[in-house]
Amino acid sequence: MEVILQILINGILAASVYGLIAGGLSFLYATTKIFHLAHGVVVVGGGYAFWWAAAKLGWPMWAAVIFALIVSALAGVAMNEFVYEVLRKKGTKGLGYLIATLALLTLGTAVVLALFGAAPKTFNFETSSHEALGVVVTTLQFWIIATSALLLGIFYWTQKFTKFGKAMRATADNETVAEVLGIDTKRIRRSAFALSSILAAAAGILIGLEFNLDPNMGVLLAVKGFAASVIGGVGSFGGAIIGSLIIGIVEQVVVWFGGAGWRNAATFLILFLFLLFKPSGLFGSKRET
Amino acid sequence: MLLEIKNLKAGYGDLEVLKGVSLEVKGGEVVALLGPNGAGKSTLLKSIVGLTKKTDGEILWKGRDLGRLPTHALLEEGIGFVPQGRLVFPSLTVRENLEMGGYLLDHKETLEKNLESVLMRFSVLKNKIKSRAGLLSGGEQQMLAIGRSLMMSPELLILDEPSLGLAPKIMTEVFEKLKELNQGGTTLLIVEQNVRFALRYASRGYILGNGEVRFSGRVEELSDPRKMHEAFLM
Repeated sequence: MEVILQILINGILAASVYGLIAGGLSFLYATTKIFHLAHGVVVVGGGYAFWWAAAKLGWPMWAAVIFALIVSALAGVAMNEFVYEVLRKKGTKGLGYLIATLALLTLGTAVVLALFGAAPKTFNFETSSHEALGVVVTTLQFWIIATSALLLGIFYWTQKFTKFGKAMRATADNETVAEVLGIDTKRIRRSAFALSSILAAAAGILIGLEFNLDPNMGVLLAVKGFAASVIGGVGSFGGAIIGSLIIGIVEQVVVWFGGAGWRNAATFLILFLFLLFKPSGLFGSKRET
Repeated sequence: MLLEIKNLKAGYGDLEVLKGVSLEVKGGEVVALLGPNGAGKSTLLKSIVGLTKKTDGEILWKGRDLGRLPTHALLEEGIGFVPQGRLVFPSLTVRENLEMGGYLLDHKETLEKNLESVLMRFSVLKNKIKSRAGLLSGGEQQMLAIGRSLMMSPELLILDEPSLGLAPKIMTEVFEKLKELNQGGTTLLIVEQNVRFALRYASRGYILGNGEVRFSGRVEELSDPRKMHEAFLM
């Protein structure tokens, strides 16, 4: 029993990070129709910016957090403005964006490597452990799950209830009609990149605090985010969160019974099964013609 | 004169779709734009609302050249557009769709007031205010698309094939609503494939063929089968 609970908690912890990434990816796909795999390096960038400010320069925690959010938001928006928007103007279709996003992912990783070196960075963040019902949770882990849930909740709320959020969803449904109604879709896309990059920065910070930062992890994070959004149904924000929970928990089960080496293989296996048998995902919308 | 189009040319890339079209719409009229597929009807509408860039000619709104105003500026000028194909936002609710129609309204009170009057006009929408638009029937979606365009209280409403894909009974409902709208003072410019319908509700019409105006005149003249025949086959 304790084992099951502990696996569950660890799975939710991983899912807290994946959800921040997958939610942003799925939302970006909905509003811009781009699978922004370079999002992985935006996460890494946020994590390193936080580490640099907090551990290297000794800034107070809150200042380092704000700095990381700004760095990631700027990186995400810059990728959109200088690459995707340029391609859009030229009438690029799916494959062109895919090549561009892979190039950005590689380039971003190279920049992080050049600035910070290949050695992983850790915080050695001090935290206390709590035990209840035979399950061990650290204070930090509790805060990670709470922060992630809060951020995703705020994000969902703005999408659902604010005028700007509704305009974003309208743009996701039909860009041309949104423009006919006077919605500035270019501004919508820019804001979508800024918002999801902020979520990405949060993911990077949480990864840095709980695990460690590795310049090459952007690819894997992007793939996990991709997998979670496919499982949930591409374009569905809620689906991406559920997909993250599934991946997080299944990974922990596999790690527990099979060893850590099988962890990523499990993600790919689930992704493969979904692509094969349920490509529209759990909450994928079947669009009417 | 509300809308005056002089020698308009437009196209896509090297393909010239409109080869010099002239057309007029007076305040309070219902003008039908007829013609076979590929005649350039949709392109003409898209050029008016700025979705397709004109290559030559003039589009005058109340005597003033619209030039290359962006689409949202036209909305504020009082030109509304209902695109082809009942294009509602399927994942948004009926209310959210209408709110998006009033996206450019600055005051919440104006938005609420206009929303109220659209719902008065389209009572079917009132009962489904919280439903996702994608779940509505075809006729309801068309009503919603029209209602959404009314949120900015346009003086001229441009509709691209409002009857497309609708059952005859629903078509009649949609056109009756349009007639009511016109009686309330809104000028209408309608592209329509269904000639019978268009002529029943319009006061004047243009027949477009191969990017040019083949015939224009009052509905009675247009109803002459020989004229129709000439225009469509020429």
